[in-house]
Amino acid sequence: MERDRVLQVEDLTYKIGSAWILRGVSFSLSRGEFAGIIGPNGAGKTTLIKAIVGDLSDYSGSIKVTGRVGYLPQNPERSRDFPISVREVVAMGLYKENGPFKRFSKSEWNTVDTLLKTTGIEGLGRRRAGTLSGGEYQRLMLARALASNPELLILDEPEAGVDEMGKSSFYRLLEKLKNEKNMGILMVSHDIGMVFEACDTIMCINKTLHCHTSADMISPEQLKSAFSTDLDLFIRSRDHFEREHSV
Amino acid sequence: MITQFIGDVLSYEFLRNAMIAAILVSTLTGVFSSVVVLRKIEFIGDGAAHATFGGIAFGLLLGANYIVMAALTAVVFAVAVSYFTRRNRLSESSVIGMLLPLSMSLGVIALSFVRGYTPDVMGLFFGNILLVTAADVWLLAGANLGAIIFFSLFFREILYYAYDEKMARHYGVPVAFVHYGTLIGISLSVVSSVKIAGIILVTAFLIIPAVSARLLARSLRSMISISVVLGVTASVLGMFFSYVLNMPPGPVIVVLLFVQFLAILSVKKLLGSKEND
Ligand SMILES: Nc1ncnc2c1ncn2[C@@H]1O[C@H](COP(=O)(O)OP(=O)(O)OP(=O)(O)O)[C@@H](O)[C@H]1O
Ligand SMILES: [Mg+2]
Repeated sequence: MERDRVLQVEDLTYKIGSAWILRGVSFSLSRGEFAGIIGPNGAGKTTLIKAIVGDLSDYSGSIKVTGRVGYLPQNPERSRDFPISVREVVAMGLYKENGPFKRFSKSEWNTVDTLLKTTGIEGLGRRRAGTLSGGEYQRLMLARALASNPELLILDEPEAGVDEMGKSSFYRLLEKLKNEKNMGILMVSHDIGMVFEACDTIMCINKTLHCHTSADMISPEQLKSAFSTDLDLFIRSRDHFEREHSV
Repeated sequence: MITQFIGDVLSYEFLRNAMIAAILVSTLTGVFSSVVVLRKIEFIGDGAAHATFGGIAFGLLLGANYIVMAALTAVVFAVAVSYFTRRNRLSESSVIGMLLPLSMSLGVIALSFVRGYTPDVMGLFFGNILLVTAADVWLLAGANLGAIIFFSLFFREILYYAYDEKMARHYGVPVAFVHYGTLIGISLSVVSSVKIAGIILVTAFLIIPAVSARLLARSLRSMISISVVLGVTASVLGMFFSYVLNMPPGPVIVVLLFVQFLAILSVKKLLGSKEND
């Protein structure tokens, strides 16, 4: 377990001015673990993710990442008529390994095509990225995140814009990646039902880490403390919880 | 008429210089215009051009070579824009919008100290091909070479920077380098184009070809090629019309660039938008 650890966050604290955005967040993630982060809007989920992927500098506490990271950001850049192909967008994920002053090799383009197949958007490779539908675009973003063959996959609301059918196949794909590639996955989501279904561990965040347990151990009280500012979400999740666990 | 024009271009040096310069201006600006339009920094060309005016004025005041001074101010301008936007999270348009009149004002103040000089304001603003010298042509050729090297060495980097700067940085693309490189390149291309296009018109060269090309292009590579072709066509035709009809070439070229845009837009509309091909 210790050896398989891909992410270790210790006492992460972040303030903007005098406002706490994150306070004393500690947890770790291993390979083969699928963790879901839930919490109301403004809870600091994206901030936590940004700190982990290195887009945030002035936090206190420590973050240790072992291995390569794939990252699917919340609301990724999307311009309808930008002349860039789907394949070129995926290849962006290979840039770090490939380095400057080079071109992508044939085998790298093959990798790109394999990724398109994995994420179920083969056949769209030559399309302009902006012409993809919302759900197709999220799959493209996933393909790019997977390009570097990461040990740790970080997803910030990847299901945004994906339809219900699409969602469950999206999560099945994530579970498959987790099992086959032994990836550690950290996913922020507002789709609490799916999170309970797909994830091994659940973290409720609202500035602090309110709970961090395996998916079948979580209690409605813990959810309530995390979601106190977002009653609607809480009620929906409780309903789901009661349906699933017949409390 | 056409043979007469070609004959004149071949026999008169000033006309030949002007012709070559016009072509080189349109290739140079055509290359950069794609990035300008895709990155939505259309205003930068305007800004750099007006900064150039400040530089020229100070050059006259200090008795320094004004092209060197103009290049210097344009680069300072580009760096200042990057500095203010990156460090202080101001939008590029706001910063350019502030620095543009500032450099203009400094230029006008500087000019007021230059005794006995009545600047060729029209020439400066709208371009005057009669002023083009062989040295200008060489300058433009050098700038073109620089742009070609920059774009061929860093094509992927420029593409990813223009598409999604944040994620490009995440994936290790040297975005700061590309950003400064692009802004400095744009500024220098503006400086070297000022005699042909003029301070006010050079913006058209930096925007219109790429806007037209974007309507047709499927990739950044084709967008750049199309804007270069459109720019060169408009320049050559513009020089021809302005010569036979005795009109100022800069404005004629700009009108032609816009006509191209309208033509491409209407053809595209007529054929029906095949967006999802
Ligand atoms: N630059 C900033 N200045 C001030 N406040 C900020 C800034 N960036 C983020 N915040 C605040 O930090 C808090 C956490 O934001 P964050 O984006 O992490 O929330 P989130 O949990 O991802 O929410 P959502 O579910 O809406 O995506 C929010 O209250 C937000 O307003
Ligand atoms: Mg968020």
